[in-house]
Amino acid sequence: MDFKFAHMADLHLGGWRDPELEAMNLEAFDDAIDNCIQQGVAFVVLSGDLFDTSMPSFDILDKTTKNLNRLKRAGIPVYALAGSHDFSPSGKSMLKVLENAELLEIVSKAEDKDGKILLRFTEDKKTGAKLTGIFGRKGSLDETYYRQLDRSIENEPGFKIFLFHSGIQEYRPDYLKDVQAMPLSLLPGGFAYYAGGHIHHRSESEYEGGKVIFPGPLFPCNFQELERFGSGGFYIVDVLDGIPKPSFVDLKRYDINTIKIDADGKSASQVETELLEALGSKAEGLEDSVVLVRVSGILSEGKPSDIAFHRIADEARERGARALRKNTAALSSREYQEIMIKADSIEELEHSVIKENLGQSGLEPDAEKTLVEKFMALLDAEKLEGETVATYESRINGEGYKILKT
Amino acid sequence: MRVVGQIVSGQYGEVLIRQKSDEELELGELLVVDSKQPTVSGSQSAALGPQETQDLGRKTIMQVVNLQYGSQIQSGSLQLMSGMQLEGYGADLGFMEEKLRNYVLAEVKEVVTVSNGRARTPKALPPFFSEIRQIEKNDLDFLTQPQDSLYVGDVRSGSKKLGIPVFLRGKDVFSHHILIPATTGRGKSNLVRVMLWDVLDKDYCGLLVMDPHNEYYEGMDGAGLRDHPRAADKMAYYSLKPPPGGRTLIVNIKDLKPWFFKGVLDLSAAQEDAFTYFHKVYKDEWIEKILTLPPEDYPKGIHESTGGVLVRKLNLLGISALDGIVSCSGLFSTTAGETTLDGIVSELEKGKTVIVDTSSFSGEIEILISSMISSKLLDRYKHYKDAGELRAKPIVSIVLEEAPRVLGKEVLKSGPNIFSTIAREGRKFKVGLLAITQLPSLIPREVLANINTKIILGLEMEPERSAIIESASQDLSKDGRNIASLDKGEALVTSNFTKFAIPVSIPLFDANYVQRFKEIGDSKPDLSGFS
Repeated sequence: MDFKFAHMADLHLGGWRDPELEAMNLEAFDDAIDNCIQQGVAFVVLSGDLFDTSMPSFDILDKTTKNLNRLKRAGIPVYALAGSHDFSPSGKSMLKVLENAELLEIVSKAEDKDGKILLRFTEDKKTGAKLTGIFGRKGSLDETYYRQLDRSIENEPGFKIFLFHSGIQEYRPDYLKDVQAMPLSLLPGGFAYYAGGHIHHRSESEYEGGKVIFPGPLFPCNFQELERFGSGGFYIVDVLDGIPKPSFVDLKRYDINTIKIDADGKSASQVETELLEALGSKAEGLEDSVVLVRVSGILSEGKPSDIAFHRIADEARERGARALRKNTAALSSREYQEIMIKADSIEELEHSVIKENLGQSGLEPDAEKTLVEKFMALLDAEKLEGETVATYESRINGEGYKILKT
Repeated sequence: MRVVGQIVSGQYGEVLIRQKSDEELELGELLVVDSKQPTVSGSQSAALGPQETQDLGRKTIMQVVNLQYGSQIQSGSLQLMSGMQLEGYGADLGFMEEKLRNYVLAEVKEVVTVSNGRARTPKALPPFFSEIRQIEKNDLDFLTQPQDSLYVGDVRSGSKKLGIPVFLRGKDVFSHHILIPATTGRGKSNLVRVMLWDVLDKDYCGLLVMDPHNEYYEGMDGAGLRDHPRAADKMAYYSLKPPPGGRTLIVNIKDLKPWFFKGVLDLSAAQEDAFTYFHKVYKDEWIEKILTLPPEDYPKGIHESTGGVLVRKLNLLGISALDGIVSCSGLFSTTAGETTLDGIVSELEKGKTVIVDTSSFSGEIEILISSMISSKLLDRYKHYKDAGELRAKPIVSIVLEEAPRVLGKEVLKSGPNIFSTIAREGRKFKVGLLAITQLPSLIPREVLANINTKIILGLEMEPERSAIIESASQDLSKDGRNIASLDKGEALVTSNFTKFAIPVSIPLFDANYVQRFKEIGDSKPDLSGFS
């Protein structure tokens, strides 16, 4: 039968600390759900990182459940899997709670068959589409599952959708070359549609006759993404005679205004003046926009904290901008050069700090780096509600020993 | 101690020994002379007959380089006797004291002198009339396993295997290049598999294996490198159609630059210049412009016919345009593969073995992709050297089959390429070559001279043997017959980093070989996290 479905990923709800940008993220989610209901999609596919963490805040949960409820009332099921951010090794995550509340269904189901992982399909009752997938884990630990996959699922008849949350090496863009990704060949063959997530870069490609789609984030998740993409979106996929035809839906609601200042040889107050002037020159276009301020260089006088960015932000808001974000990672001063790490994101910052401190353990640098990344991913795991301290410690210790053993 | 002969004459490098009658010496066999001196001296010794000797704690290992007949009977008499026997005149004719009168003489050369456990180049003749014995395992105790070792086989004495593994100093031999010359069917691929298998357990070296016959990853007869216990961590396999776990060999055309075509595509100087000029003018869009610009819009100085040739050359690489849209097939892509080359080099600098299956490509494309990866690798390592970071990086060696295609005299006439550059100066940047060829005579002497380790398998043709012997690290001038008689799986390792040219036997890389290394582990999958 012919039908259409929606594919979205990497919403990272709760990821923005800036309340205005968080609100915009949720608005994008609202828009996406509105669109899905308007278009009468048969179901929605969520390929991971619905939340930015496995235990989101109450407010985020509240808004999420409202939207999921809207879909449920419209008779639109949601098929999801956990991503690297909202995954929980014990399975006790908010996604599970939402599944128990019948607001979505997690499709990453599997059993052990002769030492291999045999994925089980979830069948959509309306369309007969069969869905399955593998959740994402930090540090590319999910790659192990693909290597142990029982590939008899490739022969399953019918229209199949494979959800996954991992980068694909062959399709990774150059600027994301350091993002860990797995080889394309690890995906099981024979699916009509591969619903990707994790890579925040929209792309369309093919694998063994099926479409491989990364929708990118529903809403930009950090400064770089705001700068690079401006907006996010998702895919509506028309399935005609069993052939999927994806179309991107851009959820752009606002403009991006970028101000770049070279601070070389300037004082902090000069930079501040320049910023205000730049804001002034964009006065007409600031309404409802997001202002991105990038300041780089070496101040001749003063230090970066002497620049009153809060004043710039206030000025921007007075002129109608919804939010202002700054990036001063490449800004330093002659007087104070405390940390010489250039990073555009938390991940990059972590990466740089790790790199700077390698070589202290006696291990080969790359082995040491891998070990550190795995431990960071492990220690990022939160204590689950209801879990005792002893159980939590035992769980973390157990996984830590496994990492050391390998 | 099994005595097999006695020194009877000769000179340095050409010592003659008489073989004991019930022994059978072989070409290439290793023998030992223990240096002894009489415990009584001078005029007393002649009157005493057989005497006691004092062991000097020194021994000389020698190797058989030739075998010939010796006889106390004149040649003419022998021929007469033979004629009588053959023609039926003397059916019961025989030799008196046959064992004394007719014998085998073995020409041996000194290989190494061992004293106090240390091996050095021999500079003196062993004592005259010394008995010579078969080599025993403890004679080679000086052959130890160095740190960062490379296994190349077990010591061989003639056709006999001694069961002593031979380890080379891997860091040194890889960075100073290796050549494997051998006629077809003598076991080149088997040797490379054994070496690659060994390196997979080590972290000091990354290996780039350009595999034109796709014979290393899956292998044959149930044994391939993918069976190594560390394959998942230490190996990456690139192919146009990889099996699960392999990477797709696909390169974005953005990575294609005109200088990669030099020595790869058959281009005239004008055509090379035209490619370069398009790149200079149009930068990242140079390929698109070549394929889509109408001739009247060509940059000044580029003739219409030249442009047509450039289009055809790109078409040969699977890159073409229709209605202004560039499309690719095969190796190249306009949408995918942006990080393939970077990814390969990154894996190499992590000490991984990267196998690139080029069996689906023409020779030109195979050389092109090899050049692109090698160039990127050398550039990156040059950068590391400039930044003072090279020390922490593993050595990377590039395995090149049919090496004369890129290192041959004819090819290099039109100018250097990345491989000749690596051969000449790669060791400064910890990048080496492992070149494999049936025809070493096609490689210039100066290139051969830069390759400091040669693992010589059977070479039937004399010019090929000469080319190798002339550039060997040890004196192999007497080893022509030895090399010609090498059986499948037998080799001679000559290297700046060995004390002598070591005869080795390479184990057969098959299912039994692989089975010895397989780990028996828990194969139960971890299903936590799945519903």
